[in-house]
Formats: sequence, C-alpha cells, structure tokens
Amino acid sequence: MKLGKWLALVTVFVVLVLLCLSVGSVKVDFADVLRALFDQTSKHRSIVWGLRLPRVLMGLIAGASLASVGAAFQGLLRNPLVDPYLLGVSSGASFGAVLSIYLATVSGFQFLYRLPTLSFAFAMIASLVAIVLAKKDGIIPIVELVLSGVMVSVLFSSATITLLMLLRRNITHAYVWLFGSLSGMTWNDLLSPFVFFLLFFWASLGLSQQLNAMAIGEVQAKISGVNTEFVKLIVYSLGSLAAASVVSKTGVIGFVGLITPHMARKLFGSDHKVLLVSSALIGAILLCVCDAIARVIVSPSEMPIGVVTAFVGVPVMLVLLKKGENHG
Amino acid sequence: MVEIILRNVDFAYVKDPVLRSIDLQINKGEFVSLIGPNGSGKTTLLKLVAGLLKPTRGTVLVRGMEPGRMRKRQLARIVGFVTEDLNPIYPFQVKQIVLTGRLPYKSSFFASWDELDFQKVKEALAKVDALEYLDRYFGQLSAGEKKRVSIARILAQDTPILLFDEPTAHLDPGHAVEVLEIMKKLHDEGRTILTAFHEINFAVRLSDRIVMMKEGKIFAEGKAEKVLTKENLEQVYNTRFRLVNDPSTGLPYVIY
Repeated sequence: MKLGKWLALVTVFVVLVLLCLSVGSVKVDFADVLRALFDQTSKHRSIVWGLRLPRVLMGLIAGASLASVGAAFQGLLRNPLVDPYLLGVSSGASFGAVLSIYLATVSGFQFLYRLPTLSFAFAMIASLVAIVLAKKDGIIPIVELVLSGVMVSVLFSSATITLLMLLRRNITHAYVWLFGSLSGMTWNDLLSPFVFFLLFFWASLGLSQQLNAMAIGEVQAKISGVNTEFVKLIVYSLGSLAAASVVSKTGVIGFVGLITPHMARKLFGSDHKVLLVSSALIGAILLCVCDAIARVIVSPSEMPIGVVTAFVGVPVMLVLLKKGENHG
Repeated sequence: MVEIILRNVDFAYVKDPVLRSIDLQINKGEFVSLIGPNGSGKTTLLKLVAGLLKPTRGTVLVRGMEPGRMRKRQLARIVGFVTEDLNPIYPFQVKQIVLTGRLPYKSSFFASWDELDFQKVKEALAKVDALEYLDRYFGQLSAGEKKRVSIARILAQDTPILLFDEPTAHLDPGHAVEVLEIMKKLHDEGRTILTAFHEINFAVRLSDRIVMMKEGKIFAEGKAEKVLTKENLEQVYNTRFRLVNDPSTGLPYVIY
C-alpha cells in the first residue's frame, strides 16, 4: 500500500516537472521539452534550459526546503500551526529586501546593496535574535521561543512598513518581492538554497528518530537519552538557514511550509524519517505546479505564487482531512 | 548494594525550596514508595533521580554517579522513568512510540532499528499484555491501554532502575490493579523501583519501604506498619483517617 503511494508520488513528480517545463507564454510540448533538455541545438533550448528549468528547479528546491523545515519544526515544537518562518525568518528577510530597495533608491548604487544578500543577512539576524532572546540557563524553552519569534517578526514587520512609507517611488518593486515569485530565477540563484536545503535535510534525517521522540514528548525524549537541546539547536539553526536562503531569492512564499507536512502525515504517517522525505516531495510538487498556474492563469502577467499555493493547497488539504482515517 | 543516594538534598524551582534536607538511600532490588499530599515534593524527587533536574544543594547519586552530569544515553540505560500520561500530538503507532525507548542503545545520528530492537519492543509489550496493540494508533487506545504502552516504552529501555510517577492516576480499579501487577512482576525480576503513589493502600501492598513526605521533607520512613500510623497520616494529610488490619496480608489498610 505504502509502496504504491510512493510510486504514485514519484510518477506524479516526474510528469508534473515535465508539464511545468512545457507551459508558459510559449507552449512547448513534452517531446520538445525532452529534446531541449538533452540537445543543445534544439530551437527551444534557450526557453527550456535558460529560462524555465532554473525557475522550475527553484520551485522544487524552495517547495522541498520550506515543507521539510515546516515538518521538522512542527515535530520539534509539538505544534501543528508552526511554519518555517517561526523564528522571524520571513519578516527579517522582508526587511532586508525592502531596505536594499530603499538604500538603492536613495543612493542610486544598486550593486552596493544586493537584495538577496541583505535579505538573507536580516533573516538570519532575526532568527538568531529570536533564539538568543528565548534561551534561558542553556535551554531553549518552547513557549519562550514561539513568543520571541512572534516579537522579532512584529518588530521587523513594523520596520518594513516604515521603510515602505518612506519608499513611495519603488514601492511596486518591493510589493512584488513581498508577495513571493519565482520569476527571473537564474542558474546562479539555485546554489545557496540547494546547498542549505541539502545540509538541513541530511542533518534532520540523521536526527529523525530523535525528532520522533520529541514529537511524542520532550520529557519522554530526555528520559530516553536524547540530547534535546542539541537537536533543537541543529534543527532550528539549519532550518532557519535553509528557509532564509530560499526566501532571500524568491520572496516570502507562505502556506507550503505550514500545510504540506500535514498532507504528508495524512498520506505517509508521522514517522519523521518518512515524513521529511514525503513533505519535501509533496512541497516540491505543490510549489512547482502552483508556479506553472501562476504563470499561465493571468498570462502575460503573473499571480503571486503564495496566493496560488493557498487556492490549490486548501482544497487538497480539506479533501485529505475529510477522507483520511481517524487515528485518534 | 546501594543504587540511589540522596544526601542532604535541597531543590528550589525559583526561590522557595520544594525539597529540603532530603537524605535517602535505596538498595538494589528494593521497592520504595513515596507518599504524601500534592506539592509535598514526590515528583521533584523522582525528577532529580532521573536527571531531569539538578539539586540546588547536596548530592544525588545513581550507582555512584551524578545523574545531572552523566552522559544522557548512559543514564538512560540505567534509569527508566514512567511519567505522566504520554500525549503525542500527531498520530503515531504503538510500535513507533515503544521503539523510542531503544534510543539509548543507538547511535545519536542516523539511528536505525535492528532485529534486537523489534524483539525488545515485542517483549516489552508482551510483558504489559499489550502486544496486540503493536500496529494500532496510540490515540485510539483507552486510558488503561495507553498507560500500559507508556510502561512498555520504558521497559524497552531495559533499565535496572525504574521510576514511576503516579502510575495508577486516572485509572479505574481494574486497570489500576493491572498496573500494580506489572510493577510487582518487574520488582520480582530484581529491578529497583521507586514510585510516587497517591493511593496509600497501593503503596502498602507492594512496597518494601514507604517514604512519607510533607512540605518537601521526609516526614517518616520505613516499613508500612511503622510509617502508617493514624497520627502520622493525619498530620501529613490534614484529614481524619481510620486504620484497620487487612486480614489477608496482615498489613495496615487505610480508610478515608
């Protein structure tokens, strides 16, 4: 049964990636997509290889990254409402991005204030501050961490709004970024989100049994010899790093990191060894498909991807909730 | 052989001490019950032995080592602690829950289960008569079944010392007796047991020794017939008691 589900998931994954490469303002059929991928002289090479493939890959990496970080955070905090932005990553990243646009507008020197760099830096500053504020006597208590994350988020959001007030002229640019988009991705953009995703994924898979114990109960995990503070530190810091490296390139993409882990739990169970992999695959598919829809539905313009993920994800999740078995 | 020593132990969560000048020794294979009203420090004492808390003053030793300073996995191979009810927030199968009890024997990175782990899980579940729940989801079990599974999780940890915190809380008489029988079986196997009980008669039934606590101090300690006097009980619990002799055991039976 489970094997069947996995095979279905992988098949859906491959077909949908090909579909995402074929749709857009210029329609390229499946055969031409495959030709363009492997034949450098193909007439669709520049569209498929140069424009769409980096965009699709970024969708896959961002979806996999946000969904698996969401799954690990939800397990660690025993809280189904947690997402990868828990520690203020999204508001820190937004502030960095808007600050970069603001400084470039004021000074005229675009290159000095590279948006992804500032965005990434502030995302990491936000999560670091959240962890430091929550830490007490060498431990990171859950309630304090959630609260300090909320406080840091509110602070950076307010600072972002202040900058937006001051910006005026370039405000559209800032808003497009804040809604999240995969447009204009290049091969160079893929490196850091991919590396940080792999790092997080490897570490959290390595700690998956410890994550199971912590999802059952933090005290229970301690009793069974789990170094809970070490697990928290690794998962929080690498998870925030992975989320920050995505957000600094794509802008804030909501929903995927919150809801995908629940879909994965419904389909494949709560064991983190399986959950992390299934969340990553479903998140990758979801974001890739939503991006294709975002490109096509109001073509030649684009919908913000966060809006599409909600429109697609909510009905899917509702069906799973209604149809899923009740495990008590 | 002495397994657990508490020497002049104080503990305070913030300022006011919860435990004061506790001196206690527990020998290998002994069954010791902690009784006393809510807030008398029973759970805190158990947490100190389990290494979940560190004493503010004095020394806690388990097999000659301080639990708070031992490597966590090393301690988890010696001391198992059945705490309040398990409450996994996501759906986990019983076997997944009991398997986490095997973590002290696994590498702390990329831990994977082998045949021995599955065998220990099955043995632990069989011991508490819960093997049939192996593939069931924990959330679908009754309170009594859940308690047995949480005991099995600690049994899979395979420790010579077992701590229990109110193991019969929220259980009906039938399920409570089942848990008591499991505890007796574990004691008969030679394990050292330290448990907190609200139900005084359960403590009488199983214990080699009873430790009566009041306001963070040990009020009385020893055999049931010595500790459970009308005066002691009324002073500690601030209510009236009647004591009779249980003809089947010859031990005191407390009525309140």
